Amino acid sequence: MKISHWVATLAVLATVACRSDTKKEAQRVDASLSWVATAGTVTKGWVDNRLPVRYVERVLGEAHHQLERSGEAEGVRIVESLSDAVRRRDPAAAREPMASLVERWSALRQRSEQLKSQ
Amino acid sequence: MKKSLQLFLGILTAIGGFFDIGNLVTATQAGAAFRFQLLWALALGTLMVIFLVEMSGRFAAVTGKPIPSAIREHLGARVWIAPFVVLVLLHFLTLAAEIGGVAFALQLVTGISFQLWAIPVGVLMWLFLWRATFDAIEYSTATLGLIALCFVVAAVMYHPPKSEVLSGLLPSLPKQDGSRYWLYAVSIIGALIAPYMFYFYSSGAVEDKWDPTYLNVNRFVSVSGMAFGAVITGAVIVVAGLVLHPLRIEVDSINQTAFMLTGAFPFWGFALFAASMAIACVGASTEVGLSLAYTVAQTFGWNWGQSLEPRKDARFALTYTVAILLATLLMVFGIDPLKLTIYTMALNATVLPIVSIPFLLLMNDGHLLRQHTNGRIANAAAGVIVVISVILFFVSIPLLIVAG
Repeated sequence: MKISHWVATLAVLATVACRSDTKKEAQRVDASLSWVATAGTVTKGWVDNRLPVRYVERVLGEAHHQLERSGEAEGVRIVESLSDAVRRRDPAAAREPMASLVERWSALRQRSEQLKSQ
Repeated sequence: MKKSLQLFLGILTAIGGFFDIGNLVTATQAGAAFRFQLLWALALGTLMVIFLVEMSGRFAAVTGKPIPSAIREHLGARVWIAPFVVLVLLHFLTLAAEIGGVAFALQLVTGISFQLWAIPVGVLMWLFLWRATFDAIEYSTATLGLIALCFVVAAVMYHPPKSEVLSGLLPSLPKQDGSRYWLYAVSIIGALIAPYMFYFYSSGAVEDKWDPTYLNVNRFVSVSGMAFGAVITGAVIVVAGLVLHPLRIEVDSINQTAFMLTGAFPFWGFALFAASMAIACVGASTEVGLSLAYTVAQTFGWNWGQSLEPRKDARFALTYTVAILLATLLMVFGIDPLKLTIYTMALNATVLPIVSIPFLLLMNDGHLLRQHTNGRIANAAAGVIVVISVILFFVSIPLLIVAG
């Protein structure tokens, strides 16, 4: 096989590997986005007295676990604050982390769009 | 009982049988990921199931025989072995998923783990089957199942864009995430054409002693009941498309879906969701448990019938007892009901040709059905069902792997 063929093969393999990395990163961001949105929605439901506290605690626990798995440290930190507010049954304490969660959601969404357009 | 009352109850039963954990999960995932774009899969699956259910009811009304024993007698035991094994496995997995669905609904409301709830749910379900007659089971779960209409009310209250909903009824290609799109399409069809549906329907018709005078009742029940059930499932897709899709929530857990109705019913939405899920799964699990026992008993020529005392059909009663016990244990050991449902629905689609082709062959047997064999339209529909089911056979598992 000529050198040019080797180079072409390596270029194709590198492109495929990069695409695969981008796809994995997009999946990771989408999973984080989904759980950040879930955590925010259920906490809002609890604050508005529409969802029972036990359910909200369970979902926040699940969101924490999933965000940790996908390496979303910022999301984990905010969900911990939310869980703390819910544990103390203090809706007012949930306001600030909820606002941070909305910001984080927007940032993740932007990142997701970027990755998908690549 | 008057035929008009039977007609009404039959439609209720058809709706009740239609909506279960499989429909709820696949419809929610489809709506959350692709908004209304997969409504066409629901429409296609509904058309297919209407034809299959109508044929199975017609078969029972004309021959007075359930499908398994008829296939065994007329096509030979060898032809029936593969569909029988596949059916028993699928019934069992579906039963476990439905028990998991009831237990999960109770977890939503109480906060107590679904694994703990699985045991009382299994025991109560067994007691219900052991003590109740066929009619009591059929009509109580079907009537209570009407609570799922809350999804239709919510869908209307959320004011979905009509043109977008209607365009979702036409097949279209996804802009991205093709493998997931096709997996959800296959799963929606798999959830709709769950084989237990038409096997149970046919056994129920034999239990109710249908004869050829019931053919019009059968036609009406199968069309209106299935269509009405499809409206409820469609409403779930629409609600998920309007609530979960804009938030970019992918449904990896049933917990992520339980707040879908709170926008329409602020204080009752959560309880309505849990109640709809629990009742739909109770109804479906009793039907699946019975259908499994019917299939086994009819295959081996045992006494069968939910209206008989358990001591008169002991092996039939033992079959659903063992099935409920094992399915409950599967949940106790912590199998995720959502994942089990997704795999089972994809498997439903995969095995469709194995369980439907022998039955469709029988529908053309003039000795059995006399002048009531399939006509041109029914045979054309059967042909389309066979083609689609063969395609599903080849694509379901690869899609499940590719979509992760």
